[in-house]
Amino acid sequence: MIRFLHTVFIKKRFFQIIIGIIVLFVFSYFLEILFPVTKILLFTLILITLFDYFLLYKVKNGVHGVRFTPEKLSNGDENPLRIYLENRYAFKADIEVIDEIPHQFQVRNISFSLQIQSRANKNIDYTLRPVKRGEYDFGAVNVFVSSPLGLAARRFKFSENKLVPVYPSYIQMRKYELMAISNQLTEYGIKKIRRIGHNMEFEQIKEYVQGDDVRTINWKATARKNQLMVNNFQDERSQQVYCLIDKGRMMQMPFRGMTLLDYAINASLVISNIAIKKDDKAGLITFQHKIGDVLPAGKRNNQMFRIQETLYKQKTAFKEPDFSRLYAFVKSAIRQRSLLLLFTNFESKVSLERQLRFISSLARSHVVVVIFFENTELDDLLNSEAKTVKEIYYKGIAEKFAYEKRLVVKELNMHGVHTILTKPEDLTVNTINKYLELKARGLI
Amino acid sequence: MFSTQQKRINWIRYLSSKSKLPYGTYALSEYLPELYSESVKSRSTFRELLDTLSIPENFISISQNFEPTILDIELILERASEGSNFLISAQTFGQTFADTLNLKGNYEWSERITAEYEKEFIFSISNFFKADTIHIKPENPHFTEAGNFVIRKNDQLGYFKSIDTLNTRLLATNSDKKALAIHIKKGKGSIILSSSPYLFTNIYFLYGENESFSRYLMSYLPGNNIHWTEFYEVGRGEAQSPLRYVLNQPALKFAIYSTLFSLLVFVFFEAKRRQRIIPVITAPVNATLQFVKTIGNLYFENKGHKSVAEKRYLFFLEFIRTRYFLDTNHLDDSLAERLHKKSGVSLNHIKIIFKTITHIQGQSSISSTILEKLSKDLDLFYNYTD
Repeated sequence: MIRFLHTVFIKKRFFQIIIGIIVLFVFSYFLEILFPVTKILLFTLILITLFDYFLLYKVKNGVHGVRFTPEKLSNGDENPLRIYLENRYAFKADIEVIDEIPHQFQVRNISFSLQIQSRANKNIDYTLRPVKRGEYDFGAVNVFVSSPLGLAARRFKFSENKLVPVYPSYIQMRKYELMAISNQLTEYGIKKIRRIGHNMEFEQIKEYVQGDDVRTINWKATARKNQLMVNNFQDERSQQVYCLIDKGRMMQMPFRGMTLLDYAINASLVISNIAIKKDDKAGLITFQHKIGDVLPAGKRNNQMFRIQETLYKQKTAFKEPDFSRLYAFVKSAIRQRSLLLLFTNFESKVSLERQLRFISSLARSHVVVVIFFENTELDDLLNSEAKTVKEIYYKGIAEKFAYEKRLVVKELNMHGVHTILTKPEDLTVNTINKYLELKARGLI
Repeated sequence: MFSTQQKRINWIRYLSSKSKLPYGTYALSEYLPELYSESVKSRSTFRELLDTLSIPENFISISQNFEPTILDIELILERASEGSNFLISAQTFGQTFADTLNLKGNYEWSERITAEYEKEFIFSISNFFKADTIHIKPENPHFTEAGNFVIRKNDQLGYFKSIDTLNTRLLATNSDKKALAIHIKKGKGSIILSSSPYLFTNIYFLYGENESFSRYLMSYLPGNNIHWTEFYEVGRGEAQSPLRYVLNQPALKFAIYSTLFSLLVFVFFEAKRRQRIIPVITAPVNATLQFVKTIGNLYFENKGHKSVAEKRYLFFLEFIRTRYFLDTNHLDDSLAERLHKKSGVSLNHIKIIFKTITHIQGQSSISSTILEKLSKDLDLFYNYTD
């Protein structure tokens, strides 16, 4: 019975009409002729409403619905979701859908209104952007159905209690993976770097296109084919690419709701995938006050899966990172010259100076890229015009912080360390660029 | 059986016709229709009551204190002389009323004896009449049903003394020959005053033959109609509240009940949870802006115009280096010329900026005017190049 009562709802229209009737009753106090008419109206309203309930409850499963959720959601991306609804009533149904999406989104007004013809179906498509990894608990899809009379409503519940994990951005991974294979990365702002060095490993002979080094023209092949042919040398293979992820204090800062750590994790996933697709070996080291997870570089089939799982379960207390431990560990664990992508954040030159000697020491035996972030929160302040003296002070300080980041870049470059100073949103693209650039220049 | 602890009885003296307590008048209200075929109860003042009626009728009022207004009294006298009869029973009478009917000095009233009064509350019904009682004697030779009419001394406190025998007659006395009820003739009608209102209450009315004493007094109100007003005992009560009026009007009644009905419907069917509770999770906050403002305020407190100016032009020079790849070691005219060509900003403006910067570099402290000028020029430069 209580379960039944939980499905019974009444529409706003009922109250609008009854308020009208109440007003008429008040009028009929002054104009007695209205009184019997109003009484009839009131009883008609009640009868029609009861009839409306009869229509709604006559059919047992009047509306059928399913919510299609992906097996896992991709962190920081717009994930598509779909609600499928089927109207089995003999009338055109007015439907209001309230989806109980996981708490983490903190959205309390996700509702859709639509109409479905009798015995027809419709899909509702919408997207969700999670900003935190972890388990997400979907509640029920609440469907409130009303007939064309629009007085009564009945609730149906579907697809209750579904647990979906949010993984590091696999959507971006797929996207860039396809791009990398089909060499379309330029479309996404990935620069083509002219190769300077040469590898001696021969790959194939192909037709000459403008821009190819004329020194590589294979004259014998040209003669045979009656067309300019060039020797193609393949990239160096099986180089190690390590993502070193700082899980410390500075990585807690959120941009668009997502912490820098999660941006770094997303970028690591993408870059690892591309590295493996390019026949390099991808590995992973995370650290804060001590070394966390370590995944030795590899390129076997399940390496990508292992990287994804490791990144998914990263937890952190955002403690002060200890670069000396990182240095000691890398020194002993990574023997081969590798590309180390160090995801961290420096807000000032002073905070860099504490870590500089460890980073520059690493740079002696490896190619180190320090990746840190522009503070986009300051953009508005930097682009605004300072009107009062106080605003000039604010802007001056903001410019100082921005300036300090550039100093950090210079300082690192001086010590032979590569840097990426990027907006959090552009992190992935910039990281891929750097990787491709370093590879093309044969620096690893 | 009737122990004192057995049941607490409410001995409050409240002569309401709805009250079934010992001192209520429910019994009388049940009995009146037997005597008068047309008996009406109301809670109106005499003035309101008399205004609506035109023919002579009978009126009765039973209260502990009868205090009508001058308008009431005028109408009572007027209607009495036209033939209406009034039975007014009260322990005390209001000043104006007493003056008009010449009761002043002719009516004595003693205080209730408190000690005994307090004891009453542990009385049980059975020994109620065992206290000091007074026997009442009707003074009418035609009244043959004379029986044993009893009232407790504490409930009979007022007496009429001298009687103007021309228009006034004795109706009842106690054993000391003191008058308890008098009949005043006014024109065609009469006013009967009784100083023993409690005789009409349930406990006396139903005791022994007391009931026939009430009948005896009412025999002076001939005819078959009677109006009983309780106004002087219970006042308006709730009878005149606006809601009572509204509920008496069918249209408004429907309006009110429809409203209540729709509210109930709303509570049951609409004020329900439509989705589960979403607990509040506080998202991490990026406090960079607040941090910058705090630091800015610190500089502002110390009036560090020069250091802020330095920060601003260092950023500017860095901007020139990274955007236009120009060497900013010497802020001379050739740099200004090249910057002008690369950025499109007017040469004059650039020169002014350079001049301000050089000026600031040479000073140990600067005024806010210079800082503002520099800031304005730089912002203009950025605006132009964006």
